[in-house]
Amino acid sequence: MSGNEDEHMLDAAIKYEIRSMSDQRPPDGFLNRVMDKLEPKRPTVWVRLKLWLTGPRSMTFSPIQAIPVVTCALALLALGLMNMNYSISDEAEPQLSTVRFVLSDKSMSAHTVSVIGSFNSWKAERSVMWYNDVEKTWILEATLPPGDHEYMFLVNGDKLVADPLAPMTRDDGFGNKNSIMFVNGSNEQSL
Amino acid sequence: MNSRYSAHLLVIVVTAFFLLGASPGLTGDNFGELVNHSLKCGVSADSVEQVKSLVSDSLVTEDQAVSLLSPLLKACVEQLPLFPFEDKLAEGISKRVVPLSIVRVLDKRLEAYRFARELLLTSSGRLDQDALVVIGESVEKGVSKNDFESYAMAFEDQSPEIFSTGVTMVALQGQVGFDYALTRTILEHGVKRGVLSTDWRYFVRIILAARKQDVSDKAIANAAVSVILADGAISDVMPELGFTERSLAGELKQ
Repeated sequence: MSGNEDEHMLDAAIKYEIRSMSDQRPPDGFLNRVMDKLEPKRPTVWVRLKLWLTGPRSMTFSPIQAIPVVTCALALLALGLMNMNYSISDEAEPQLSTVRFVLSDKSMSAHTVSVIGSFNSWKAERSVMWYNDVEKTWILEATLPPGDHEYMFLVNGDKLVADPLAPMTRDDGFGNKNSIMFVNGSNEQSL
Repeated sequence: MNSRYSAHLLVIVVTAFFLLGASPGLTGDNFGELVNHSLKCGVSADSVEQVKSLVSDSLVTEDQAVSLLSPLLKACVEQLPLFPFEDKLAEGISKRVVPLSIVRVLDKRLEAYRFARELLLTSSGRLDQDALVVIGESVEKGVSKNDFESYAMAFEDQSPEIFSTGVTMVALQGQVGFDYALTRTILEHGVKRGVLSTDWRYFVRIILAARKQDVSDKAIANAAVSVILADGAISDVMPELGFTERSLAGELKQ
């Protein structure tokens, strides 16, 4: 018989003896004595903070105490929303100003008049003027963003006419003088 | 040459390599290729469609169409603001200008914007888009490059808002022939007193209105400086000149 077989037989005998032993109750106070001798482990600051934040808390207050707190919270919320709306509208929409284009035509010699300019991609169909019988003028009102806008009147679809009332003109490089409309804020066409 | 300028040039060169490297050339006869490159770069579909319509309506040849689109693609590749070029193309087409004239104006504009970009990058180091457009447009219209160089050197350290306001004044006042020395005097006093608000950018309106009443440019500048020294606003300049009612039409009444 080899040494390994002896060890196996011994193990089997020990296992049999252990299984066949009867259950014994530990002595009184054994558990407490063991627990008392264990070193308590202190959790880290973050773990304690997490436990404090996630643990349920009970708060008691009267309605009279809650009123100022709720009022302050609502005021802050309203202020935040107002600021958010202001910044969104400020960024999304440039300040537009209403301007008026006028071309005098006492005898109504023109059939159609349009304003073509940098603000409408020079497309006549986008800014067709209407004739005012009382004032004997072609009129168009438009809202424009701040800037100096170049434009001309297109009469009867083919004749380019500079605005005689424009404060300034600029050579267009093609042999014409573009009129300039200055837009600098809400109060336009006045200094 | 500062590092921002170098980096900007590098980006342009690399972009140009990829966008133009495989193209048949800006003056080549492949209009379709140029259209694709333009759209890929970022030229607006509206501009491209306008040129394509001219071709399909037999108003221009494909070679002419290539010439019309090429400056826009160049501007795009060089990362210049595209709107001024697209706008000028639309203006020329709307006014039924011959393609050669439109191309000449667009090429002139391209050169003016290149100058503006270099000036801004080598002075303030900021490529402010508003200032770029203002300088580009004005140089194209004939305002002296020296005026802008002088301005940029003198005011490069100002905040973007003040720099932009000042450059607009140099541009617009230069376009109506108001002496740069007078403009600079106003600007120097305005900056020194800290009253150069954006309202001043259209001071040219007061110049034009006052000129109609035979007020000299020197007197206009003096009035502006007096108002600035009193911490006044631009609206105080006309009363300082002796006018009480004002309108942009120049119908001034004393």
